[in-house]
Amino acid sequence: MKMMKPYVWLQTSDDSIQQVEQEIAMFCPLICQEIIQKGMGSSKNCAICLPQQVSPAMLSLILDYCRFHQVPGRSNKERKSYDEKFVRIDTERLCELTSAADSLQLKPLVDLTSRALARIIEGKTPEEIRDIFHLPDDLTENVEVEEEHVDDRSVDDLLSFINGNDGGKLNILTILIFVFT
Amino acid sequence: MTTQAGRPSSSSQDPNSNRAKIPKIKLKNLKDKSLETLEKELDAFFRYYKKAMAEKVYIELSQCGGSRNAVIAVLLEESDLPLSKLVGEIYDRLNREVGSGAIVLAEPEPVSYATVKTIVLLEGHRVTYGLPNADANISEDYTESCLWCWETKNLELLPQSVRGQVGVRRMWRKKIHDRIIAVSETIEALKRVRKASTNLSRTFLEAHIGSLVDSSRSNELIKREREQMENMESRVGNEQKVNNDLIYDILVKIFLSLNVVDVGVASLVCKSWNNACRDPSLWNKIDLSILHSYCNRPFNKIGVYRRYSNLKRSPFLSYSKMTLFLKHLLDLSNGNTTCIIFYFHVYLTYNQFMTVAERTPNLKRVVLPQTGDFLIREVDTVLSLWRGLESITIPSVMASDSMIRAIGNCNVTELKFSEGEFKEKHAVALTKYAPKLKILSIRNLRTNLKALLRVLNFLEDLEKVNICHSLILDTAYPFMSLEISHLRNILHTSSMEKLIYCEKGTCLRCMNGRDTTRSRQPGGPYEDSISCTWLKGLYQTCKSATVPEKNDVQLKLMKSSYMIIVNYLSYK
Repeated sequence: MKMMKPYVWLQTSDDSIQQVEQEIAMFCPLICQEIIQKGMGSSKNCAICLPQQVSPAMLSLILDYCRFHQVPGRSNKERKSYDEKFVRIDTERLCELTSAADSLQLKPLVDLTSRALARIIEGKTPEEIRDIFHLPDDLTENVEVEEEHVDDRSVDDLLSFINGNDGGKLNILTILIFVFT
Repeated sequence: MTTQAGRPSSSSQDPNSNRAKIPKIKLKNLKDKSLETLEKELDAFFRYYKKAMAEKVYIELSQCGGSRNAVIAVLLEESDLPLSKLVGEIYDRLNREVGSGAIVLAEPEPVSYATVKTIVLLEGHRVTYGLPNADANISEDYTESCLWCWETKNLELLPQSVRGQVGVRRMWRKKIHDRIIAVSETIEALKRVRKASTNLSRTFLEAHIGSLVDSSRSNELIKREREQMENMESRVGNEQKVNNDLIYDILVKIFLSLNVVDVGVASLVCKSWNNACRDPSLWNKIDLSILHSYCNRPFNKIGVYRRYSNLKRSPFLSYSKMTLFLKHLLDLSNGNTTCIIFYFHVYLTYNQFMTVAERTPNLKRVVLPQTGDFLIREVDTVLSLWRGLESITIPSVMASDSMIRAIGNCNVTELKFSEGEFKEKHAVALTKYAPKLKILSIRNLRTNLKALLRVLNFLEDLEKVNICHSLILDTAYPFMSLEISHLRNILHTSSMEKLIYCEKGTCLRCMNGRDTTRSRQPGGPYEDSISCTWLKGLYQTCKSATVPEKNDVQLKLMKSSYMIIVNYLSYK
């Protein structure tokens, strides 16, 4: 009969290995599967290799999260306020955290962080979003080109605009410009 | 940099972020400046006071009328000495004057040191006109900044001729005192502000502290701090990294909790976001009802429109912009939309209606707005484009005969009335043109009892009628609405079984009404209460393990996974 091991060994992306309480690590489905199905993590030599996205810093954040939620008997209010505080970090780290949580299949945390990211995006213009997330403006304009030529000025508007100008040459010129654009 | 040499701490603290610090230093200079001027003013006041006090009011001792007390009062007035020295000085002066015969005292006996001291304490008091010092010994302290001064308690002891002058000087001292107090307090406050702002720049922001709060290990703290510093330096290098961090799946997940407008904006950010915005799971349902919050807001606030607004810049949502917006969204959806909900108060033009219909071939459910000009045109054309339409929601004002006929022509099985009154003519039209109807919702409407009875009796395929919160009226008793219990008496049991009604807040809407989370999750916000299916799976596998005897490990795992499920559910 095997002995229950209270600790599990985890290897993060920078090849460092650390020891974590099994109960808490089991909160992550990926680690859970590795333990149950493959029997990994029972010693330092067969440490569970975590996905590339999980840096030591992110792992410690995730474990903090698991440690809090693993404790039974906390009220919903406590948990909610903890979650709220937990995602109050800068956007860059929030993105990393989301990726790390996703790679560990830790769904509640992914939900939490992606909601937080959604709140950051809400109500912003594309420019602002690019600034916040340091994204390149690599959209080819053809996305909008087909809409660009739509003009809600009526013909009457245009006529009055053209007739407003004095000088026949200018009128023809304007019409030509309008036609060719 | 013009930072004060005497305060190097402000500039030497963080050489890396000089660029960001510039406005701060400017601000600090400003404060230093005002601090300096205030300190100068204070110095000037001290000097002025000293100078002015050196020119004492000259009082002839002979004017005192030979009273010992009066002479001493004159001598102590405006002296800045501590008690022991003052008494010594007065004693010497008095003896000298009496000896030289300049004054003649009424009392014949010679004045002793002790008497002088007693009289000084009796007749005079020492007042501070400078910076107060609570710890000082009032009679003996000799701090220069306190500007001590002896004054006679009773002005009448002084000769009549100088009383006015002395009074004025006292007033003058009082004014100086007030000013000095005010200036010094300001200086203190400024110093405190500067100290606080230095602390502010040294300490963490709330967000950083929040992330650190649970880490009790100080090592960890230092490590993260260093990391943050490194991050700040190499932010430029990281730009690409962040982009790569958010993979398609995560982006889709984020967009799921955005409303359509924001998804439309997000699609204009960059290529990878645009791709993610086209994910079919985002477009299953297009809920335009959120537009209500944008309708009366200047529209260039929203990126989509700012991007499109080479057109006429109208501050409010115009039809053309609305059409563009719909086009943009529906192009993103790529025909994957099965449900579209229009904002109830929008005026839907025929153009828009056609635009939508052309781009949503797989539509199953549509919620139409209150008004629009598409009714007079061929509704049939539009509705025939939606081959698979199953459910349609219309306000009862729109439910004219032609509309109901058009609805009956396509295979709609579910009809919902969204507002107004369910009248008998509607029931007649329904029985005539839409006999295949299976579900009818007239919830939250005024409903004619006869119309309800007609629908229940003549629509043979009808399975359910939702009358939750409806006001069921009988024309015979126009002022009384029928309760469910009344209906039970009137209706046949088979008809009664078809009804969905709400008694004591038991309907779905009533129960969900308390849930305020807004979400575009595909399952709806209310159905994902057990989203951690892996946990359930885990529990099941552990429970049904085929190992001959369950060993300790499995039992414990089973227990812990069960606990997690329970916790998670209670948390949800």
